[in-house]
Amino acid sequence: MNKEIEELLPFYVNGTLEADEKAKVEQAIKDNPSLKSEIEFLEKLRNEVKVQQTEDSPGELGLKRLQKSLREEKQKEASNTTPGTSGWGWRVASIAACMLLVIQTIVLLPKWQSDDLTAAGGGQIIHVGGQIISITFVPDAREENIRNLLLTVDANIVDGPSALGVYKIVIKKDVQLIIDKLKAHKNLIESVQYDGDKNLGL
Amino acid sequence: MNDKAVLLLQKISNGDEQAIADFYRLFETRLYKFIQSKLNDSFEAYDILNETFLEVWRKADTFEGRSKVSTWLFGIAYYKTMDRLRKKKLVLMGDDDFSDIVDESPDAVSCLVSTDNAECIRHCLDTLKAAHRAVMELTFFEDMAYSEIAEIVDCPENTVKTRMFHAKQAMKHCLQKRMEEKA
Repeated sequence: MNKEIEELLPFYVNGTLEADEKAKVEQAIKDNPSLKSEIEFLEKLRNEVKVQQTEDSPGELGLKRLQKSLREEKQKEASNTTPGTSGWGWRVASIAACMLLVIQTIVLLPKWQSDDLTAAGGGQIIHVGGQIISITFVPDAREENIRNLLLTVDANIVDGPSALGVYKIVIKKDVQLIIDKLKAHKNLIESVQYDGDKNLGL
Repeated sequence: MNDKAVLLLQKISNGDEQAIADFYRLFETRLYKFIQSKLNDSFEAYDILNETFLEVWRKADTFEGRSKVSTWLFGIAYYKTMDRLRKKKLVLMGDDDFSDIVDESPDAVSCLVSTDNAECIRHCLDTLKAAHRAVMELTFFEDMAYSEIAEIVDCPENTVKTRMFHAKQAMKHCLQKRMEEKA
């Protein structure tokens, strides 16, 4: 028996073959009548498969179960989008916390610019007395040269730098002499100003 | 019927709960039979049936209309059934494993005309491997074309024809043995 034709027989029996294939099978049946017994077998097999009893399907009970599953699925989707229980909610909370931190920093920052500063290690405020001079240095002045100059005039930096680069130094000797000496070092000193006798809390 | 099913799927994709209920009633009996015959366990079959319709609810908008709705639906059910069988570690006979069974059954037809048709057929269908039984049921119970069956079981059309051929041979062989045992 031609295997190609034999493979088409079940679909000839259930009536789903395309026209050309159906014609091919019918020609084969004419050429080989023994195919008729095969077709009879397949037709009876098809009838028996159709009447095979299975257990009753769940029917309306199954529908109720499906509807319950759908409700549970909807509830699950709704809870996933509720702020506070979802990732979206946590993102909002973290953004709010960051903004609060920024606002807090802006509010507290001016207080850092007060004259009274406490060292992080918990240092004490000390009061310095003497002749106070405000001084600015040339931008490219080297630290080594600044250090040597200040040591020469026996001056100590007691405050600064400010935002404008002003340092306050205290001197104990002749103010005018020291001011003249500092001004002479134009390569290091940009400006010098005598602030008078002051007591600074440091 | 396909037009009605397509319309229902469109409504389901819009979240219409009445439409999914109507869709369920339209296909439930056929689908349950298709699933249960391979699982032989009504509780598991109920689970697969429920999961299949849930999948319809979730994926209704993915139906493109290139096949019939029944083809698409049975494809989902077939995949879920085979997946459950794999998880239960039931070996599915591949086509390569199926040795050619010589047709020695001139009495196969006579068995079918006896009064024990239902019992013979049921027994022999139960001996088929799931993949072959699925093809036979889709061919003879659902009267589907081999091109449709190929879509459902996700294999080439020639494989469908081969599986049906082998399933038929196995049925003949089994029916002959039943006849011999009864004689």
